[in-house]
Amino acid sequence: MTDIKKIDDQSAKVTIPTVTRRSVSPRCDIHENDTAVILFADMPGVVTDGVNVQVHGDVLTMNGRSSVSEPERSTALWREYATRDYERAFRLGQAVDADHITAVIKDGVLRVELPKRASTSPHRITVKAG
Amino acid sequence: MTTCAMSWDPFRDIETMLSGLDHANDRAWSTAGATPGINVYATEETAVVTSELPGVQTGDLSVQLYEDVLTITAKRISDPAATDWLVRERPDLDFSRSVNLPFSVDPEHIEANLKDGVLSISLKRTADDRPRHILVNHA
Repeated sequence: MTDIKKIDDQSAKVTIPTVTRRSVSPRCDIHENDTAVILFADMPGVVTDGVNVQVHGDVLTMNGRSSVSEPERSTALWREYATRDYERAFRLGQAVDADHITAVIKDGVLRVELPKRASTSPHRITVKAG
Repeated sequence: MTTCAMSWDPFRDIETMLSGLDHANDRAWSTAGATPGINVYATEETAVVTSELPGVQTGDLSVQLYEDVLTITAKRISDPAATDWLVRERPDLDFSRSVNLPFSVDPEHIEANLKDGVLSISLKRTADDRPRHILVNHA
């Protein structure tokens, strides 16, 4: 998978919901096993209704809208972070089965499982004695 | 051996590097540096301390108050079973941070909630340490 910093012309048709607050690229971990590529993205404050994961062509896009708002009628005495929305895109390799991607968000972490196509999973070949 | 699901792209390393710079630039407002940021809000009667702790479980989190110092301790370790990393940007967390509150709070009225990766601690300011409004008389 390739991180796309800037969606190029080829994938310009990808619809990214308009966000009014500042969007940042969420920090991601991606690891793979024999059957799938698994992606984790930190999106604190985002709930299931606020997250959008879609595949268009070979581009996977993730958007998260934070549901957190500042306490009412309060004054910020100290501020080290701002509540942001999240947005990031990756280009998928041929090995990913885009039709069976699943995503779940829990505790502010989005988990996307991208199964590999069966043909790309490694097959163990039994070596017989000659 | 596992099949690499990444398509080879000569610009990938450059993109990764630029992404790193992007994050470095963003660090002042970061959610997930090695030490998460803390915000403190106050009204005349209450105070709210928040911190973004995605993926932290309540069992790995403690909140302590000693006099006017609030301490948050948390830990988040990535899945040790995961080995073939393609991208690693989310740091393991193991930190303790203290906030010296600029007013005294009632230790009997503290509520801490961890919801959707955001910790929110509500505190009640003690009555004798709240701002007092002074009536200005017209002489």
